[in-house]
Amino acid sequence: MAEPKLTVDDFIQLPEIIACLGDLRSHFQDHDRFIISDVIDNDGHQFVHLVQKGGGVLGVALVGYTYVLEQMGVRFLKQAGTSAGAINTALLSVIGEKQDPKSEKVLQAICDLDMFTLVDGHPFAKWVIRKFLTRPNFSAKMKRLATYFISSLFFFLLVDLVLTGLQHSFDSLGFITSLFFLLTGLLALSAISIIFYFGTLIKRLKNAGFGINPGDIFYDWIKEQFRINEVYKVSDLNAKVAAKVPGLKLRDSRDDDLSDLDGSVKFITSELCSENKIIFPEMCDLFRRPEDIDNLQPAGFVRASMSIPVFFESYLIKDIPCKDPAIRDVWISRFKEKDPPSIARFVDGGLLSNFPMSVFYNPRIHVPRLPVFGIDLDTSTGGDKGKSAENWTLPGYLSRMFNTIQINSDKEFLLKNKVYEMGVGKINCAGFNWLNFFMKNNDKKALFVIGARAAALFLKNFDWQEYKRRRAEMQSVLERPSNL
Amino acid sequence: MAIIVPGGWLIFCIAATIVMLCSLIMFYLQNFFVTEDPDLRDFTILDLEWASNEKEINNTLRGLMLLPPEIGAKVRRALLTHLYIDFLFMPAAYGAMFIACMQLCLRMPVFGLFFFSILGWSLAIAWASHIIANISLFRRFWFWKKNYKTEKPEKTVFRFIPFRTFRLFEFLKWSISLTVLACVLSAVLYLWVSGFYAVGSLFYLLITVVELILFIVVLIFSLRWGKKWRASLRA
Repeated sequence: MAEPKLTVDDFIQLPEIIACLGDLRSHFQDHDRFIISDVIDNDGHQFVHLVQKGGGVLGVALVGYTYVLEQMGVRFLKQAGTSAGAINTALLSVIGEKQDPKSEKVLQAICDLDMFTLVDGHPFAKWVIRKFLTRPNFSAKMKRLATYFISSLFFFLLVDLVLTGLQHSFDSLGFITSLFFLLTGLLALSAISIIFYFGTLIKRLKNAGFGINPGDIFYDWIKEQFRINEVYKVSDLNAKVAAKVPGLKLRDSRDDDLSDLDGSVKFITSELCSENKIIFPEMCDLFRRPEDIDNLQPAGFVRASMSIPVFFESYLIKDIPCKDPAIRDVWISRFKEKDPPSIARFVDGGLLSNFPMSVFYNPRIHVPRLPVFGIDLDTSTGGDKGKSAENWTLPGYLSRMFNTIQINSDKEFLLKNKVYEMGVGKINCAGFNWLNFFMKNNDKKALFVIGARAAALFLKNFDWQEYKRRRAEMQSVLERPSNL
Repeated sequence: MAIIVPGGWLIFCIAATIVMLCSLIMFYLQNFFVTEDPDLRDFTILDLEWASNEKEINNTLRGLMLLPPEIGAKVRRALLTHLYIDFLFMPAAYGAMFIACMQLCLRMPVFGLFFFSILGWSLAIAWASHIIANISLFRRFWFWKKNYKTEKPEKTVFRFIPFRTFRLFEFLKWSISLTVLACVLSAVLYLWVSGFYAVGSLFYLLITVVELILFIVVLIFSLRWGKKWRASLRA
């Protein structure tokens, strides 16, 4: 039975959310004043930079997290995200003004979207994906079915053989024998059709650039979200995120200024032709001349960032003027690439940087004016026999390999710059499948609550003064003559 | 319901020859099937017939109009010729299967007469479905030829033969014809191993088998050539 459509109130009026916010507010009333940044506006909003990690449908938890931050008066100046993180980042960037709370509108957009429609591939592929994700023993069932099928085919062949031999002596068996031959033929036809159909699907997959779902529904949806918020072109997006916040200022205790502090947005994606990490929209100049940049579709950046390999088709940017000297110069200066591609093919940014905390690292800053907050979706389940490597299955082994590559560079940054860890809140999503686009309403609500609780816990433990001290200390260590 | 076709196996052989010749030409033409969706992409007639939704057919057909002119004209001509030849293929294929059913119903025991007569006449439904589905593809092709610049694939819905009906016709066509084919082949195999065949029909069987071998050999060469052509297109 189809589930009723969720409303924003179904999320924000959850007793757990109300309790979580109540607890947070009373915590900051009873304890110190709630200070997490030195950049504020006239209404007392505190501004931070925000980085959101990718994690498929677990992105609902990101919305829970940002909802609590916003309810506590936190606003976002610069934002970055990958995959699901890029979706939430995009919506938080284009909706309203910087000083407005936006998470409720993001929730509304999510409520209006039937996540199942995002799986827009062939009905058969859709069916298989659904069963795999929602029925834990589906593959065992399929194996059993295949065994029965092959066994019955052999059984019928054997009966045909026996009956053919017998009918020479017993004429009355003629009808039964012919019937069994027909049944064998029909069974063989089914087997051939299934094999042929699978072959066709695999060929389709190859022709579709190894993506099961075109991702068109998602692309149309995100385009629509941009359109509703009057973002049609790249320049609209840039203007929207760079818009000044009225009354933005530093706390009185600071004597530096804000003139160099603008808003921005960064969507991380992986480009396969040139094998590079691409950050949109700042790297648009790799694909179009400055005067043609508005030919690119800004919603395409988010589509590119969330192109989960194999699950979705890659996102393409075609007709890159790769022979143009200006374009070539940009490729050379950014990537030392002398032969830029004419078509760029993007897959999920999470492949290279799923949690791009490093994008907001500014070596010129000594004492930060505002922190970089990161939302880390912890998707590790400890599944597939945990760390006992000798027991892994092939999919488990492949997923471990993928994860190792995926988190390596981000992990390295955080290990080298431990102060940034202080700004990271972890959402533990164990028990949820990041590809489950068929998620039930209760699971969506549960994820929202988990995100909200993670935000509350993070805010309670975050120490802005300590963050500033350690960031300044880190910079002074880096700037010691021996380290230069 | 059953009818006796005079010289049935001879007509069957002629029809089978036409089927194989048409198939060869259609396979050859299929070598040229590429579209711009969104990049240069191979497709087959089955991708159109078994499309998962309306948009997929629209994207493929609209993509034909977006190809570079020198390739586009060739591909469009190949698709149209393919569809025209399909009209020649249909009577030969359904006719051959019908004759086979009529010949077999006289030889199969007990319910054979009734069963194969039903199968034979049900081919009329498959044929009609095939014709309607092909006309639908033609109409869609001409629509996109005229409107590829103005219409959007995701917004275009055909009212003449809606997608669901199109899919139903494709289902009828494939399910009936494949079931008949499987039953005919099983019955032929049964008669062969039982030894209940007419000796006169062996000559026609031999001709069909030789034709089939030739067909497979030529087909392999044609497919290899097609692969090379498409690779050169991408280069």
